[in-house]
Amino acid sequence: MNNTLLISHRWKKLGWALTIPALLGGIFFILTDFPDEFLQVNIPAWMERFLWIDDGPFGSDTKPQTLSLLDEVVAISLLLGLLLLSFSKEKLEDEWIQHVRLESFQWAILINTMLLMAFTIFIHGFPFLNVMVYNMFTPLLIFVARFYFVLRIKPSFSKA
Amino acid sequence: MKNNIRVERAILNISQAELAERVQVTRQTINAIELGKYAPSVVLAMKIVRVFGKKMEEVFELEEGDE
Repeated sequence: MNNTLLISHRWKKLGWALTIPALLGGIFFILTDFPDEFLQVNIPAWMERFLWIDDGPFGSDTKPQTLSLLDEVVAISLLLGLLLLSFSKEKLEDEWIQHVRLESFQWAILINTMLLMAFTIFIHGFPFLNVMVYNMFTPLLIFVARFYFVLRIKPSFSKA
Repeated sequence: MKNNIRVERAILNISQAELAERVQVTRQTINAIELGKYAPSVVLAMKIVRVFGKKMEEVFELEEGDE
């Protein structure tokens, strides 16, 4: 079974190392509000035209000169970590694992889309932005949870 | 698809892990096949029957729902 989109098993460790802290950090910062003063960087003048940043507070006509990179670092780490976990091979990537992989992707898209439809019905206005934020990560999160559950956790129930 | 891999293993006295190693798959794959949760590819099925020294039909059998 050759699946050319998959990468080496070695990337899995980096995947976990990025995902776990980014996930915990992300949840923590969402609950406590992302602190603006963390990882502050000045925006170079030449870069301004490439960035799309909200104007400052209402009434001010100047764009912010600094940017907190914390949320970007957390989001990219989580996305990259989840991507590595999803696309790195198992030690012995055999046909049943490929089957579980496909099934898990299908479950992920199905559950994600159903959740999205439910949230579209029940959540309106500005709070819907939160739904979109969670939705950036849920397809891969559901995939990783289901894939590793079937591979690692479920067998320990049926061993007896 | 039904199979009697468990019986054939008992005759050869080999574990799931040993059979898995001989046909280069994981132990969970053999387990899933034995439990009827997964139908192996033709290639894997042929490798398995070769270990037992049997013919395909002696190990694997179509079920009602398959036809």
